[in-house]
Amino acid sequence: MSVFDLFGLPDVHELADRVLAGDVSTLRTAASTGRTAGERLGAQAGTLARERAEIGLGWTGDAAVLADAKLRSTEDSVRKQARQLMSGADDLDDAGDALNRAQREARRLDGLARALEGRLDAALDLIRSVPLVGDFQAEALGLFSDFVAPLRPDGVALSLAMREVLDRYEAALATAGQRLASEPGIVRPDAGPVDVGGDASGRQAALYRGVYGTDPVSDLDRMMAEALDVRSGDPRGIDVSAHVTLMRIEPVPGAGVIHGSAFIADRAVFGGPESPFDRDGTPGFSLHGGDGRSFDPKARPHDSRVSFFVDYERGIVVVRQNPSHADDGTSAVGDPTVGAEQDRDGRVRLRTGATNPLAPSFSDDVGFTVREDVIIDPRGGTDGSASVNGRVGAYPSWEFYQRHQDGPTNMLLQRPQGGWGPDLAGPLANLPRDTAPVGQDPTELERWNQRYHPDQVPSEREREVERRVGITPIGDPWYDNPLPRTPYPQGGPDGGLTLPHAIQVD
Amino acid sequence: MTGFGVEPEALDQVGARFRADVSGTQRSIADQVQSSAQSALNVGDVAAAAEFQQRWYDWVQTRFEDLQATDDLITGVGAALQETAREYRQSDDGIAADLGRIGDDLGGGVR
Repeated sequence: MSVFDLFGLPDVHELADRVLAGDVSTLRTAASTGRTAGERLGAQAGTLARERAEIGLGWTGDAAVLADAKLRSTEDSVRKQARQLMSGADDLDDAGDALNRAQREARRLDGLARALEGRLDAALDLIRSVPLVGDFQAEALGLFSDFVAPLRPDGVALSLAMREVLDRYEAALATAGQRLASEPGIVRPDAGPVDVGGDASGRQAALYRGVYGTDPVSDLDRMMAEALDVRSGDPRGIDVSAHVTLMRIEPVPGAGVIHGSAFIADRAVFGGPESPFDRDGTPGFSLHGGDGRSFDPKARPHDSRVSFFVDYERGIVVVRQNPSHADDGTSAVGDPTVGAEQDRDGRVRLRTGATNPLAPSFSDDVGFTVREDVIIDPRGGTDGSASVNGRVGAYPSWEFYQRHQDGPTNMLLQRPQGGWGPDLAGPLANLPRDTAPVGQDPTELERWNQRYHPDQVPSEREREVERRVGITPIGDPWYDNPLPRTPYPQGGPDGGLTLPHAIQVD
Repeated sequence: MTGFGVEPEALDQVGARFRADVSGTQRSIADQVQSSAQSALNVGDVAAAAEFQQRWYDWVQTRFEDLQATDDLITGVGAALQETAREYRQSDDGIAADLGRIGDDLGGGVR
C-alpha cells in the first residue's frame, strides 16, 4: 500500500516520473544545433564585411556609396540573426538546466518517498501481526496511531515539495517559451507562423491542424479548435494558460461531439484562508472567481472550471482545466487527472479529478476536488442519441450536450450545484460530499467496472489492515475505480502533436 | 556631378561570389536550423510541454523563413552588383565605340 494512497495525497512517484520522463539531451542537441548555426552565421557576416571592403577599394562615387549602405545593412541583419540563433540556443539550454534541476530534485524526493513507504510497510506488518484474540482491534488501532498516523506529515511534506518542483519547472519552461516567441524575423518581420495577441483564429487553426491534420471548416471544427487553445478566453494574453489533456479514440461517425462542463454558477465563492497578498479588505478569507452563468449549451470552452469534448466524428477527446482566479489578483491552473477508456461499442468512460490550485494545500487530501466518472454512449439514448450515465460531484454544476454536424444541439444531462452551506460557501460545503449518481441509468458505470475491472478491489493485505483498524482512504466511490492518468500531449517532429490513445477495453 | 571610379571585373566577381558561395552558405545555415525541428524536444509529461514545444517549433520556422529571406536578399545584391558591372562595361564599350567613330570621321587613329 502506498503511503500516498493511504492518506489520499498526490503520489510523489507519479509526479516525479513526469519530469523524469523528459530527456535533457534533446534540449542540448537542439541548443547545440542553434549555436553552431549562429556561429556560422556570425562568420557569414564577416564574409559580407570583407566583400564590402573589397568592393570599396576599387569603386567610388554615388552608386558606390548606395551599394555600400545596402551591403552594410545586409551585414547588420545577418549579425542580428546570428545573435537570435545564439539567444534561442541559450533559451533551450535554460530549459535543459531547469529540467536537469527538476530531475535531480525528483530523484531525491522519490528516494525519500521510498524510505517513507518502507516505514509504512514495517508499521503495517506490525499491525498484521496482532493476534486475533482479546481486544485485538484496540491494539491494532493503537499501533496505527503510534506508527502509521505519524507518517502522514512527512507524506504531505513530500507531496508538497514535489508539487513545487513541478511548478518551478513548468514556470521555467513557460519563461523560456515566451522568450522564444518574442523574436520576430529581422529581414522578414512577418516570417514564421503568425501568433500575436488578438490572432486567436490563426493560433486555433494551427492547433487544429497539429491535432487533426486539416483546417477547421465547420462550426464543430471551430468549437474543437477553440477547445484546444490554452489561451482561448484571454485575448490580451496576460492570464495563465489552461491545462489541456488530449487523447485519441476510435471515431463513431454520425455521433457528433458530446461536450459539456463543470461550472460554478456564482460570480465568486469562498476560496480559503486569506493570503498575505490579499488587500481587498475582506476579512480573513479570499474570494475565488466563479463562472457566473447558468446552463448554456453555447458556453465557450473557457466559461467553466473544467470542460470536456468527445469528438466522435474524428476520434479526439479534449479535457481542459481553466485558470482559477482569486480576488487578490493571483491566478493558477491545476493539473487535471484525466483517465479515459473505450469499449468496442464506442462507449467512452471519462474520469476526471480537478483541484483548485489556489485552494489550501490540503484540498486533494480531503476531497475538495471537482470529480466525475461517466460512461458516454454515442447511441445509448432514445432515438439514437447519446447518453451519459455515472457519477458527478455534488459541486459545481454539470452539463452535457450532444452537437451534430450542421444539426441541433441536444441536452443530455444538467445537474445544478449542491446548495449546502451559507452563501459563497458552495465549494467548502459541497465538494467533499460523495459524487452523486446521474443519468437515466447510473448503474451503467458499476456494470462497466464489474465487467472491465473486476480486479479493482483492495488486495487481501489491504483488506486485512482495513479489517483490523477500520481505515479507508476516502469514502466516495469515485476513488474505488481509478484509471491511469493521461499524459499531456507532446510536440512531435515538424510541429505536429503526439496524442496518447484512450485505453481500449474488451 | 560627382566623379567616380570602378573596376567592373572586380564588381562582377564579388557579385558572382554573392550568388554562389555566400548564398550557398546562407541556404545551408537555413537548412541546418530547419533540420533541428525534425526531432522532438522531450521536456517531460507536464502541462507546459506542448506550448513550449510549439513555441520552439514556431521559433525554428521563423528563423528558417527569415534566413531564407536573407538568402534572397544576398542573391539579389549579387545580381545587382553583376548588373552594375555589366552597365559599367557597356558604358565603357559605348564610349570607346563613340571615340572610334569620331576617330574614323577624323581620318582614323583613335582606336
